[in-house]
Amino acid sequence: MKEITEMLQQVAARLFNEGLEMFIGYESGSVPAKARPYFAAVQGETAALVFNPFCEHNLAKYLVRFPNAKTAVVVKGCDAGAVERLVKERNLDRTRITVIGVPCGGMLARERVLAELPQDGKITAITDRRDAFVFQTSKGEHVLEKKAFLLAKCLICTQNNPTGVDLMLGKEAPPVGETGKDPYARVKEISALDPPARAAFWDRLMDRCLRCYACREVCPACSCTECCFEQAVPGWQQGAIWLSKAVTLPDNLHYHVIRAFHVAGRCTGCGECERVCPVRIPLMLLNRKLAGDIDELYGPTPPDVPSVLCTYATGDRDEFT
Amino acid sequence: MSVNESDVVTTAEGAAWEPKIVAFLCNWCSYAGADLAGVSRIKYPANVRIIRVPCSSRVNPQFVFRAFERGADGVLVAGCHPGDCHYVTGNYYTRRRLTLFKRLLEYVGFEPERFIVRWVSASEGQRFAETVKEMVDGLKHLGPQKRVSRV
Repeated sequence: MKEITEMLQQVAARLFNEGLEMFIGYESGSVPAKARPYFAAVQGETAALVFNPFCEHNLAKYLVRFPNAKTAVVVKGCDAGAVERLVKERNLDRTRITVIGVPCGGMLARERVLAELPQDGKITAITDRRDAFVFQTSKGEHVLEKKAFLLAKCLICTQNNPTGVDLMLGKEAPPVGETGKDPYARVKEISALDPPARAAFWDRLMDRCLRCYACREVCPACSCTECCFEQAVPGWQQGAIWLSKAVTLPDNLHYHVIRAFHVAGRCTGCGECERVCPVRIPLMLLNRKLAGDIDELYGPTPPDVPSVLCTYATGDRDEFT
Repeated sequence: MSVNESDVVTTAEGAAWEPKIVAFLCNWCSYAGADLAGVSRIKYPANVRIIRVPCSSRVNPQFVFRAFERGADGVLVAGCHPGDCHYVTGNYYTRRRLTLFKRLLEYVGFEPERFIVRWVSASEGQRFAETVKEMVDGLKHLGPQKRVSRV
């Protein structure tokens, strides 16, 4: 990880010399085994940049906050689609952005890693050894098998090397996802339940939603300036809102179904909604269900069409007759 | 319409429960189809509350949820047959949208009978009546929709 970090810092320094105004990357968190988004605005701030297997955030959506600055952003394989999505929907001016791709060896689940490492050991170096990460700590060396410590989304990852980037750092990483793992396995399990059991499954999850809207805020496909769940103008000027803000089961279910539906065909599968959820609702189960159906019914969307629901074919499958 | 006594679900008050259906009908085909069912004096259950929409593609999926929250036991969306849309392409979009939405609703635990989409043309009064009959039968079998209803 050291080489990538150094390369990142060098590239950032060079870009600032070339007139860059904002560099969006990662820095080490204030607690062990954690990274956080980092915004370097001047040359002198680039030394804090890092890349390690805890950089799980998708930084693409932060680009929207700097509409007029020359910005560079660090993306992993799963984040590259998000930049593409934002550009496609005209939220970003691609000419102002430098996309820096990093090969990703998978991201680690922090809790599991911390449980494995000695409590008072300080992590001094991390190396990627293809099937495992080797942690050098002040208490010795620890080998963490990827199979056991990677995030669930990394185990079904199909594209750990970003595409469509301006600059690629380091060598391409070997595939991370386990071969033969069905990404829709859990979706199929739920679909196989009978309706009352399915309802019970979802009610239990939706009941704990706080409606903090973090899943919406973080989503690179959720980029409307005005959201259908809360309109900007008050009182009588307000258009129709079909959903109450009350945190009740029907409203939560309504919110999540519609949120997933609004990003249907536009979801890039980065899994950020699930990561930021404070009550750990497995939201990707909704997104993945839609992605699977879209795949089955309509196949790949042509590149000039913003989303699968913005187009049609006269020969689409008709389940309504 | 006559129903078997044993099929009738009774509410707490003991009165026979009748399912409530909210039907979004497209102005150009299905609404006229429902009208034809009326003027042809075709008998169909009175459980349906019709909302006329300019096109089936006007039906926001949130309307469906809203109807369930406001006590609907079933929701029907009906529009022109694909290819016959007054606005040329509206129902093609509806077809994609609602195919995905129906699958999603079923995935989160709604029974397939609760949400029905049907193509009903202006000349298909009989078909409209049959659709409503079918839905009422299905819903009577399922019982009241209590999951997200607030009433």
